[in-house]
Amino acid sequence: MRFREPRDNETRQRSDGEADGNLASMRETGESLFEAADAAINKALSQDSLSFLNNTRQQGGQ
Amino acid sequence: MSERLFGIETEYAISPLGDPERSVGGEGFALRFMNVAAELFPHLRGYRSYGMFLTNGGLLYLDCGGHPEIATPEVCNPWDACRYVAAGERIVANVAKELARRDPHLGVFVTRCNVSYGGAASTWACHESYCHRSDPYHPRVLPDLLIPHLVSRVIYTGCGGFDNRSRGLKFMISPRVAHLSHVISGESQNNRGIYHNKDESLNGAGYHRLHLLCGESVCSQTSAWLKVAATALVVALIEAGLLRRSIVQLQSPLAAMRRFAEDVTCTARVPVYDGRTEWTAIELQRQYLREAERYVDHPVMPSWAPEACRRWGEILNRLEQGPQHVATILDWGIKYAVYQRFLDQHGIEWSTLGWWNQVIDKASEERRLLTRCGGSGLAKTLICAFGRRHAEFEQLEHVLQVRDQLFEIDTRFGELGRQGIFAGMEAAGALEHRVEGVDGIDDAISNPPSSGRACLRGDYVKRLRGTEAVCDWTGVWDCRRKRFLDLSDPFASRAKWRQIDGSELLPF
Repeated sequence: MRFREPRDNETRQRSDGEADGNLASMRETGESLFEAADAAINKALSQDSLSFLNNTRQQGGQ
Repeated sequence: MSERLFGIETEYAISPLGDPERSVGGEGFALRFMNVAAELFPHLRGYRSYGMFLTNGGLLYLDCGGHPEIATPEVCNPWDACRYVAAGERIVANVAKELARRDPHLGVFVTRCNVSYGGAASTWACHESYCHRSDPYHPRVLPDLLIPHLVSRVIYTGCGGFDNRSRGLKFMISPRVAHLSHVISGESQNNRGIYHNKDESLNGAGYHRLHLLCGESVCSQTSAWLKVAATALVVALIEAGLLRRSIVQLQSPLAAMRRFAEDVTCTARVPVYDGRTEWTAIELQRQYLREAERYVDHPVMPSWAPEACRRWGEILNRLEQGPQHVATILDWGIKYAVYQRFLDQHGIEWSTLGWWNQVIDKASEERRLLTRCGGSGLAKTLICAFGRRHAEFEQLEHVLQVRDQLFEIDTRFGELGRQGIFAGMEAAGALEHRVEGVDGIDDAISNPPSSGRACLRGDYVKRLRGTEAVCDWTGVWDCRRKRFLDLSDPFASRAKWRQIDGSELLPF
């Protein structure tokens, strides 16, 4: 697992050292984020998403 | 320093899950929800505001479309706003839990998600109310100066998700924006505007209520805190006449809001009124922040303005560095990272979504053929229609399956209770969204804020519950003792009852 690295248009110019440090920190944070997301999604996701969406269909509110 | 009052209304989506034979959907189920709520929580019946006023000074009612809605009591700082929204979530979750307990065949699903992916393309929302005293003789001043803020704040207030009017996977920072069709509108169920100009003060003493319905429910405390804090400061600056000449105006606010809501890089530029320059959402936000900082000690500003400016600046700095810098903080940033990853895990690159969306749209146009074709037949149909990229077309059914899973994930992201995806990530310690000082949630379920008229309202709901008294935002009618508590002053701090005769008793 790794945090997706920023695309060219998603980042501003930074010094190389600062960028390396940030990237390492982002990877660490990303691993934790994705691990938690995987566990939460696996726990929550039903076997039949289409049925779930039909069963939770809502009327519009305000 | 001046106090500002504001409140948040949150509409929830509630659905019965389980045995379809026994389930009752729509408003019938929502009515059962309200009946259980009335049993569980001490309250006074609402008069004009249908529903039940709670001991915390807020209101629980059933809004159109069968959506249970909680309006927080009026609060005077963003910590209390977050605290009472969270208390409202616990109230709703407790009612849902009790409903499920009473019927073992029933599962009750409640979510903060503001759009339905079940084919209805519907939306509901999270509204904000800000008490203000702007000059009523210049009705254009408030919308003109506020709209560029509302348009650009989506970069930190958006809940993230997909455009539910599309059959494809079009990620948006704020899916609600797809349902706004006017710059200014007084309507709320159709033809919604960025700026809602419905005139319903719910106040006396020269106070007005700005009612906004362009926002969304968010899970992130940082996002919710900043939404009300920044907007309350902007309203304060406008009320004091401090922004008049300094704010650039957008050429096309609606187009700009859509552009910003679709741009996760926050680098999209939109034309401003003079047509010579283009501004990003971050630049637009920085102009408001600069003005708030300039006048941070002005008498019209609240005591928490310096902290609001600090947090406001920090989130703009993060957004300037790219979406990965808000991937543990803001709803849309978390979703953007997690949904990309989910697609990667299923062999679909995020960068191909634009192309897949075209395919899905084309496939939808060919609905007649699609109903006749399955599996490779579907692929052949599309190959004939597009005449290229055969291999990718054969993946279409897989893409549609993953799309439905992502729609379910987005619906479950804000699910109330421990099983929600955001709640699960939070419990795992993977998020950094919390705002220090947003605490005392359990206390806020049953107790009002310490100041403003909500304090009096909550107090008298406690004292008069179980009697024939009724309540409204602007007063309490004690029918047994024939007296009326006037709460039309939003800053009322002392209970001043007056006797009323029979003609002033409302027909209940």
